[in-house]
Amino acid sequence: MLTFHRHIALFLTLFLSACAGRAPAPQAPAPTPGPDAPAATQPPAFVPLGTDGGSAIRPWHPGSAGNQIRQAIFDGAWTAVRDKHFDKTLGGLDWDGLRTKYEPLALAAPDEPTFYRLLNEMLGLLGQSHLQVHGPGEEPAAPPDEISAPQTRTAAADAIREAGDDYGDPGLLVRIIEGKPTITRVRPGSSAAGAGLRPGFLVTHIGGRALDSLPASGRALRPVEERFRLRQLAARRLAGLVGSRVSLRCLDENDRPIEVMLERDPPAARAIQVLNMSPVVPQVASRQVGEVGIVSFNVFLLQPVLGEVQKAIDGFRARGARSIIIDLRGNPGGIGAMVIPLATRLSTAPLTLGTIVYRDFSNTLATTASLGIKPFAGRVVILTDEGTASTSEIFTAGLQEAKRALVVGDTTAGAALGSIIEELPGGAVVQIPVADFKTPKGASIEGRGVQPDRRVFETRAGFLAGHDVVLDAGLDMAKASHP
Amino acid sequence: MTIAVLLSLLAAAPAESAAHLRPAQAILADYANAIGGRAAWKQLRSVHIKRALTVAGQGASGSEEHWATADGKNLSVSTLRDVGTFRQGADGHATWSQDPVFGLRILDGAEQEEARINGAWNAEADLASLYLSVSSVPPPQEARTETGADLECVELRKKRGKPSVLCFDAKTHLRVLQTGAQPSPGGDIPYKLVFGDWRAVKGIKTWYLEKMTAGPTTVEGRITSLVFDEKIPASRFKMPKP
Repeated sequence: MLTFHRHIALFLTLFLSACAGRAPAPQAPAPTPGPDAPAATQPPAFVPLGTDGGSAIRPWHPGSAGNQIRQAIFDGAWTAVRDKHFDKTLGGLDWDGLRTKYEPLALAAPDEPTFYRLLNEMLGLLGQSHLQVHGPGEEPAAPPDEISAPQTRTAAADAIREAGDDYGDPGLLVRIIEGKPTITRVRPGSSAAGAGLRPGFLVTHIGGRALDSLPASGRALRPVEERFRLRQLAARRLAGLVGSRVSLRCLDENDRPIEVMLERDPPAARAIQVLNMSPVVPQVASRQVGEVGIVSFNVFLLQPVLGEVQKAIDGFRARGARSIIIDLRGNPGGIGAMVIPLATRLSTAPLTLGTIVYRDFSNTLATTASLGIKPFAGRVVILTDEGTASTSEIFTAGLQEAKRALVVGDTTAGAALGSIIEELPGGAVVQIPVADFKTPKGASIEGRGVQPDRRVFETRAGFLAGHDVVLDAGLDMAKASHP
Repeated sequence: MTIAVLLSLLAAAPAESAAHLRPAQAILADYANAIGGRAAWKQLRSVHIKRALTVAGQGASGSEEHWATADGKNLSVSTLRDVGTFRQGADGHATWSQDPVFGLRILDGAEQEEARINGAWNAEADLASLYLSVSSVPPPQEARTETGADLECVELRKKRGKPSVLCFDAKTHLRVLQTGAQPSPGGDIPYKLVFGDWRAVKGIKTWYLEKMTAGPTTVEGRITSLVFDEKIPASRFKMPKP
C-alpha cells in the first residue's frame, strides 16, 4: 500500500541512449518534410565561465580550490566508470594503472581544456561511445575577433534568455561530404541565409579555427566516426549565446573564398533538458507526398516528441498512405524507451528490437499489445546518415533485422549503447555506458553502425543543385511496393 | 585436522545459522506491532499520499500521488518532469497500467501479481496473507553493511514471479531493506529498496523515505503529504479509456 510504484524502475532501466552528453548537441531535423520545417537550436558544450567577452577559461593555480574540484571530478568520473560500466572487466584494461598514469597529468594540466582532454583520453582508451566528461572551461577561449555578447538585444532574444534558453546558432548544418566540411543545409530566414550561404559551400574555418582535423583521440577512428565527430565539432563551434557572433570562412560554388560574421539566432522554441542531456529544441515535422508519409524528428523523447510522431503516423494511415519514410538523419538518439511505442505503432505482429544488456541483468526491447493502438501495416523506409546514432540506430537495426523496414542512406554512427549522464562536482558531468545493445540475432551496433540496404552517396554538386538524393532514393523505395 | 573435516565443518555452518533464525511469522508479527498493530491499521478506510521523486545525480525529478481505499481500489500517478506520466491502478475488476512506453494495458501474469501485492490494502500489518508462503532467511551478504543494523529477513514467495526478500531491523522490527525483481514486458528487473525516516501518523508508523535502486539508477521517494481517511470518490479509480 505504501511503497512507491515500481513501474518507474522499468522506465529507468530503459531510458538514455543518446550519443551525446551535454556537449555534442543534437542537430536540426532533416529538411525532408518541407522548407517550413523549423530547425533546432544547437546548444554548445557548456556555458563558458566568462560570457562577457573575456576569457572562457578558469584561471588555474596549483593548490587552489580549483585543484580540489579537479580531483573531485577525476575521482567521480573514474569511480563511476568502475562501478557502473556495463562491462565489469572494462575490456581487460588496468583501470587502477590508468588512474596512476593519468591522475597526476590531469591534475597538473595547465588549463581546463587540457584537464578535460586528458580525462577524456583516459576514458577513450575503452574505445566506446557514450563515455565522456564535460565541464566548465573545457572549450578553448574564443578568438578575440568573436563577439560573445550581443551588442543589441531583441525582445525575442530577451524573452528566450529569461526562460533560460539563451543558446542559438546561425542556422547552418555542416557535414563531411566527399571528404570535406560542407554546408548541407541553411535554415530559411537565418543569419546564415541572410549572409548568402548556400548548401554546397565548403567550410574551412569556424570561429577562426580550421575545421580540418579532430582533437587527438586515444584510438583510431572509423571513417564514419570521423565524419560524425567533425559534424559535432562544427555544431559546437557554431552554437553559442543568442546574439553573439561567430566567423565563418568558406569557399563558394566557384571555390572563391568568402568570410562572413554570423549572428547566432534565437531558437525556434523553448529548449528542454532531460536527464542531463544537452538542452534541445524538440522538432517533429511531417508531410505526405501522394501515398508516402514522411516524418522526421531530431531527438528521441517521450515528451513531447513521441506523441507528435505517433500522431503523424496515425494521420498517414488515416489518409491512406501506403508507405512511411522515417527520416533519422542527424538524429543522435535520446530516451531509449521511445523505440518501443514507436515500433509498436509500426508492427502488426509482435516484434523484438533487441536486448539491452546491463551489468547484472538484461531487458528485451519488444513491442507490446496496447489497448486502442492501430498499427501502420504498409512499407517503412528509414533514412540514415553518419549522424544517425544511438537510440536511432537501435530502432533502425531492430526494424531492419526484423525485415520491417528498409534502410536508405549512409552507415550510421555506430554509437549504440545505453548510458546515464551523472553530475560531478564543479558543474561537470560524466556519461557512462551502462548497457550494451544486441540485436535479436546477437549483433552489436556499437563500433559498426547499421549498414543501409541501399547506400546513397551524397555529393557537393548535388547539394549545390539543391537535390536531396537520399530522400529521392527513399521515395523510390517507398513507392516500389505500390502497384 | 584433515581437509575433509574442515570442509564438513564449513558445510555445516549455514545449516547451523539457518537453525537460529526466528520463524518468519514471528518476525512479521513483530513488524506489525512495531508499526502500530493490526487493529490500528484495520480502522483506516483510505490513504492519500504525495511523494517527491528524485533521480539521484541524473538531473531528473518528479512526483507521485497515490490513492487507495479499504475496498481494494488504488491508483498511482507518477510524473517525471519533461519525461512523462505513469499510471497504475486497480478498480476492483482489473489491474491496469498506462505509460508512454507500453501504452494502456490490463496487467496479467507476474505483473498483475506484483501490482496486486503493491496495491493491497492494509498490507503492512498482514504481509503473510499476500504471499503464497513466507520463510525466514539469512540477511543478504551486503545488507548489514548497507543498513548498519542487525537484520532479520523473510523470503516472500508469490503465486507468480520471483520471490522478494524483506529485512527488518532486529531491534526496532521496522523494515529497512527489500530486494526483488520487478516483472516487466521486457523481463525481470532486479531492484533494491531501502526504507527510512519512520514517523507516527494517526496511531500507526510508516516510512517517509524510500530509495529504490534498479540497475545503475537510484530514485529517492520522499513523502510530502500523507492523509488517512480522506473521502475519495470511486470515479478516481476508473480505468482510463483507450
